[in-house]
Formats: sequence, structure tokens, C-alpha cells
Amino acid sequence: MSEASRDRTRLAGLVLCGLFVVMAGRGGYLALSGAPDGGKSVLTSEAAPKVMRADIVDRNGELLATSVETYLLWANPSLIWDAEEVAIGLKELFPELSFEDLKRRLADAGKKDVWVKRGLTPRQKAAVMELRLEGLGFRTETRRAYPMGELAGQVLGQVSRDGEGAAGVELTFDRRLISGGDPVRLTLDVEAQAAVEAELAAAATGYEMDGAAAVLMDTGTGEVLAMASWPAFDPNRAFEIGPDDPSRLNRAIGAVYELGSVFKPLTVAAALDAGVVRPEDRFDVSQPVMLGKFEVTDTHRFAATANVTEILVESSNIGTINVARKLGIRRQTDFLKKAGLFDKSPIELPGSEAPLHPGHLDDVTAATISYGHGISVSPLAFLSAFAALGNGGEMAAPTLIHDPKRKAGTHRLMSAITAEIVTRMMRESVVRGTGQPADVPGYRVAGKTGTGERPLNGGYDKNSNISSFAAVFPEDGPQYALIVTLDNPKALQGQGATASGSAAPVAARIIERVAPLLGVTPRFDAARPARTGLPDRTPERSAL
Amino acid sequence: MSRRAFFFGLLVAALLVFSLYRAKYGARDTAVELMAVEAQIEEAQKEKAVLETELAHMSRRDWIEEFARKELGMSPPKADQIADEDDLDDVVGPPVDGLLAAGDPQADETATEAVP
Repeated sequence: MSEASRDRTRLAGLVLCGLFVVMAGRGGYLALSGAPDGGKSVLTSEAAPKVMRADIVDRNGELLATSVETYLLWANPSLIWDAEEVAIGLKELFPELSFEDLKRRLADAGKKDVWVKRGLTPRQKAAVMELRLEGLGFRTETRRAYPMGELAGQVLGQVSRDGEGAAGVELTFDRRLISGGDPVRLTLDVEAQAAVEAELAAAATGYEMDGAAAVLMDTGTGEVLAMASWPAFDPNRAFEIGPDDPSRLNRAIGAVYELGSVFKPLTVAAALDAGVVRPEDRFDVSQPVMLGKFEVTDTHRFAATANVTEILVESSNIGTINVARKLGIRRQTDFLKKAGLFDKSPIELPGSEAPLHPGHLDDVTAATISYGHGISVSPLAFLSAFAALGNGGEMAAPTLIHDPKRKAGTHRLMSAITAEIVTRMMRESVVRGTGQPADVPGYRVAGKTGTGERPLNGGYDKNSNISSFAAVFPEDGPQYALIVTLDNPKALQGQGATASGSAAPVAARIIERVAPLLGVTPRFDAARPARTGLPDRTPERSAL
Repeated sequence: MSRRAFFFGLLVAALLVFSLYRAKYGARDTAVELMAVEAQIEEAQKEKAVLETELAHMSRRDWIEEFARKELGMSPPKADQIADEDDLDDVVGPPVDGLLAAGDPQADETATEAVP
């Protein structure tokens, strides 16, 4: 090989070596760097997903509030050739749309963005797409949905248009909900809640009342199983309902009432627990009691003297004042404070209303408060204290959040024996006293009626009242406490305008419905009422 | 010799680069497929959420109760319609032999055979 040929070979070798180095370098670069497009497509898929507001469920996981992605159907009339054809197609899918209105709007070629329908599900969207109509489009929206409608509406509350909690549980737990994650589990039981709401709604029609509230609570844990307020509120329609609409008020916590004689068992319990009276002690109930210039009487004269049980059974104001006077103002004040009746209920909801009370009790206010007048509290605040009678004297703080690990925040309000004695007295009240309409055979209801006057222009309205019934059941081992409060119920024909004729029967109907749901086994002291032999198998007698 | 080594090296480099390209674009294609599957999952999850919401809506107790009352003649149970096992004799009376036999599979078999 000549020298020139060898040089050419060397030169070619060098060039090829250079190419080899470049190609190897490029190969290495590609191996270690991103894809030619910079990996943009991969980055897109890794973009942070949109966090959906967490669900709210009941104690058994039943869905109460959720966030769903829906679609807004819109149209561009400038792209629509035959508005009538498009309107016919959409009308077939959505019969609720107005055909004439839709056709007119779709024919307006000057517009480019006409809103057609909100809240379409993925299936509805697919159905629209299958129509292959011109000029239609979709926008994705996130919507807060309350699938149970009005059920527990005031408790759940609502979100603002920006998706932030604006009322109820949605507001209290806004930060937790907004971060997504596990659902917020409430103590409510949808079965019990539905039963309570249904009975309140039925009572509203029957008694033509202005409003009502009911709370059902587990006496041992303070867990609220049902909290209903009438008129009902549908959070799905929150933006259509005015800010002052009465349905927005949760009367169980956001309204305070003079609850009347339902306070008497607490007064009696305080006196028994202090050891200043015994159940068999007798008091003069024959003469009215003068409080300053006011005269306090009983609704009916039943005896010259009465023991403590009879005072409670007959709901004697005179007798209760005498018991309270034995108790003394200081001890009565201490008991009311310990019962939380001077504070707003510590429930996990916004809008818990503070009670109205005189602050410092004197002879007159101590006497009136003993039978539930001169102090206004929310039904839930009262029930929290009252439920101690059904929990061996221990008072559990009310809660709406279901947490199996939670230890009930309890404190002793009275001794167990006092709670048992007063519960037995209340059972007597239901068996043979003012609470008789609340008796439900088999479920051993122990309770007390209360009829309070409604405040009016600095005084009281003599023609309307607040009717309540508070109960624990079953009496021989109470597990549940219930309060029903009706605002201005009208008297039914043949019945008085007192709690005995309104709130008590409503409470009976609620207990009859919720007791089986809660697993309370009916027990009959004597023979079962009117059911012997083979069971009646007609559909009307079948059970759900 | 050096020329053969050179061409061999060139071939190896070419194969290396080609493999790298294949691996890179293969990974990208897989990522795209993954994205598509993820999008399908997301869509399915959204639809599941909507279906669960619809199910909860259709399970409204007031609606079910009204339907059960109107269409099936059912109503919430009364206390006297609920009994412990121990109370059954009091509620429905003692067991009836004929009724027990009717529920016995062997008795059913016999009855079937007896039919001509």
C-alpha cells in the first residue's frame, strides 16, 4: 500500500471514529435525557388531580353528601343549521325543557354560547352525543349533591357557589372536607332520621304549627341519632331559598324556647340528689303560690297535698315550686350550671344558640325556672341534661361525629339512684299522668310533658304555646332520649292545646317507629295487646 | 484487522442507538397507553360516584316508604308484631305438626311422588 493510500485510510478511519463518537454520544444523550418532545405528554398525565370535596355519610355509611362531576350542555347557534331538529332531539332526551323556548334560543344565530341544561350525568352526556346533533358542546362542572334530598338538610348545611362550606356540617368541617380523603361519618342514622322527619311533617299538617324540632340521642354516648327541624330544608335547592326562609333554621340548636314542665324532673332530681326531699315527702298543693304580684296555679286541682311522685305525675307547678324552695337558690343554680343549661350546646354545628336566663337567680326566677319558665334553652341543650336520667346520672356531651374510638365526655349530674327514681316517676307520669298519650305499649316510655308560653312584645302570648315532650326509653334500662318541641301547635278537636294533646302523641309515634330500628325489644308486662293465635298475614298488617 | 474491529464497533454502536431509541419510544408509547387507561379509570370512578349518588337518591326512605305503603300495603311494624324467639308460642301458638311437615323436604318429595 502506498503512503497516499495509507493516509486516506487513516483519514477515513478518523472520520468514521468521529462519527462513531458523535453517534455514541447522541445515543447516550437520548438514553439519559427525556423524550424528543420533552416528555410533555407524560407530565400532563402526572398533573395533580383535582381534589373533590369529601363525602358526608351517616353512621352506617349511607351517602348524605357527595361531590360529582356533571356536564353543562351548551350550544353555539351560529353553527346550527336546523334549530328545530336540534330542539326536537334534545326535547326527547330532556322532556322538562321547553321546546318553543329552546328552538327560539337555538335559532338566534347572533349568539355563540347558549346555555341548555346543567347537571348532566355521563350517561346523559353520552346520549346527547349519540344524537350527533350540530353545534352542541359540554363543560365539566363539579357539583355538591345531597342524594337524600331534605333528609337532615339543616344538619348537613350547604356549600357556597365557590364550593366552600357555608352552613351546618359543611361549614364546621370545611377544612377536612375540602382536603378530600375519607368521608366525614356522622352519628345520624338515616332510618331513624327519616322516621323522625316524617312524623314531624305529619304533625305539622295535623297541628298547623309554625315550626318543630326533634332530637333523638344515645344516652350513654351522647351521639345524636336523629336531629330534625320543620320546615325541612333541601340543600340541593339552597340557592333558590331566601336567606331568611324559616326552613334554614335548625330549631333543634338554633332556637331557644321556654320548654315548660319538662324541667320539673330536673328540679325534682336536683332536690332528691341534694337529700333535701324524699319521694314520699308531701307538699301542700291546694293554694296558689304568689311570686311578687303574680299568682302561680296548677292547670287542674287534684289534691290538697301530694308527694313528689304525684307532683310530677300531675305536673303540679305549685308542688314543684315547693320542692325548689327546699332545694334552695344556690343548689338550684349549681345544678343548672352543671347541667349546661346556662351555656349553649357544645354540638359540632355552627349556630348553636345561647340560652336566655336571668343569670343571677332570685326567689321569683328560681321558682319559675323550677317548672321551666323564665329560662329559654335549645331542645338539644335541654335533652343533653335530661338524657342523664337515662344514663345512671351521667351526662354525656352531645356529638354528631361518629368515632368508635371516641370516649364519651361524661360528667356526673346526679347519683344513679336519683336518676332511677326520677325515671320511675316519669314512667308513672306516662302510665297515669299528663304523659299518657306518649305511652307506646311494649317500649316502656318514661317522660314528661311541657307546655310553655310564647314570648310576645315583652310579655307572653296567651293564645299560643310551645309544646314539648321529653322522654327516655325503655324505662327499665334506658338507652335513648328523645325530645319533641312543637312551636304554636293548634289544638285538635276534642283535645286541649297543651303538650299532652300534641307533643306527647307525636313523641309516641316517633318512638313506635324508631324503637324497632334501634333494636329495642318490646316487652309486655301482661298479655300482648289484641294479638293472639296465628299472625295476621294481610298486607296491611305486614311489616316493612 | 483494525478495519474489521472498526466496522464491528460501528455495528454495535448502531445497534445500541437503535435499541435506545426503541426503548425510549416504547416507554413513551407505554406512558401514553397508561394515560389512556388512567383516563378510563378516572371516567369510571366519576361514573361510579354518579351511580352511587343515584342509588342513594333512589334509596330515599320517604320514597321507599310511600311506595311500600301504596303499592305493597306495608307499614312500619307495631310493637305487638315483634317478638323474641322465646315469646313465639305466646304470639302464634304452639307449633302445628301439619305445618312442620309441609316445610320438611322429605315430606315435599313424598307429596310430589304421590302426584300422578
